[in-house]
Amino acid sequence: MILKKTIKDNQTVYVPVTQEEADEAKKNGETIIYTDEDQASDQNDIKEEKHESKHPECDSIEDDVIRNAKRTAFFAKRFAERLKRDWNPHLHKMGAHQSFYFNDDSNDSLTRQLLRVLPFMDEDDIHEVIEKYLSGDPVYANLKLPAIMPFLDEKDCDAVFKKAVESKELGHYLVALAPFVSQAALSRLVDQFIEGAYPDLDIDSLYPFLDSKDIKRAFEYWLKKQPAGS
Amino acid sequence: MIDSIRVGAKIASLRKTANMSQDQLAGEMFITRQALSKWETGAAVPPLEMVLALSRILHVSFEDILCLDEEISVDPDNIFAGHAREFVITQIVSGKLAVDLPSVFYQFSPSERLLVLREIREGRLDVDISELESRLSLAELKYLGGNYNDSQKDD
Repeated sequence: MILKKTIKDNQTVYVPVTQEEADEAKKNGETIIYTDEDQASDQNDIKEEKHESKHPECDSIEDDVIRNAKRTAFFAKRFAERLKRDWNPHLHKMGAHQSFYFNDDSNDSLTRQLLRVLPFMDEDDIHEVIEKYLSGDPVYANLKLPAIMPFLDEKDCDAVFKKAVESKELGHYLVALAPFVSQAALSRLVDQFIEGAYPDLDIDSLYPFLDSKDIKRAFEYWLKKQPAGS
Repeated sequence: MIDSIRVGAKIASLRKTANMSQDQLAGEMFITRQALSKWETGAAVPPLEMVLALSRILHVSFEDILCLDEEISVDPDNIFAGHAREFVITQIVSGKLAVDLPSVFYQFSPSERLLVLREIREGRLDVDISELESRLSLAELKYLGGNYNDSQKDD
């Protein structure tokens, strides 16, 4: 039985109504009570059917598959767009001079060509390339040093680092080269720094790579250099 | 070599022990709170001048702040946890930090792998090659193998 809530003589009473009347009352926002649970569940089923019928294209499994495919394609497209837009933003922010070993604008640069063959090159051949670079051969002038450092032996690494220390143009390479340089070479650099050979050297950028003893020496030198009382 | 992450954690811990906020400490050092935050997170290492200022304000030696002469230990499942990558690599490469290289090799970036392989190739790092070789790329194998072939020729 279906009951509708009504107010008669200031009293709330429930009067039985037909299904049609109940539907009409529901539309008007009036309270309807189903005394029979089956009837209530039937009403819920009708509601669900009505809800589903709003999406007639989803009535079959095939339609579900199509809808999922459309959704996947949408997200794939959005992901591709984001990837295209956001890829490497931090590298660009780092500035061209610091992104040298991550990306190279010219596809056929010497560094790129060298990187392809370096793992397969003989030690002597690599040494020859470095010697040419150190002697100032114009062919090797634009070589991106940090990219090739892992392939060099210790002596070549130290020699390249020494050139970078002595040359102002390569000053920005120092931090990138330091991890490959031997502790002995770094220690020698601290000696020369203390002797005053490189007054413009930014020792602050290098001290994270120095040995504890060298850091202490650099620190003591720096303390001595400070004006008294500061 | 300085472990920027550990130095950062040390600065943060010393600051908290001194009951100071980042703003207060930054104010005393005439730097921005952001700069101090960068040091504490290990994104940057304070310059020597600032290390001196920190040691004066926090009443510790600069060796303490920079964690010099401190023993380092790593978690084999994540050897870089709580440490700066470059520091861990340098320690491994210099032989100061002993790890089971084949089992942690997958944690290295391509350039770090090359650094480690260079040390193995030069004979400065001792490792079981038979354990390691299955974890190497063709180029890495060739890079590592070149030296062995050369040494065989010499023999």
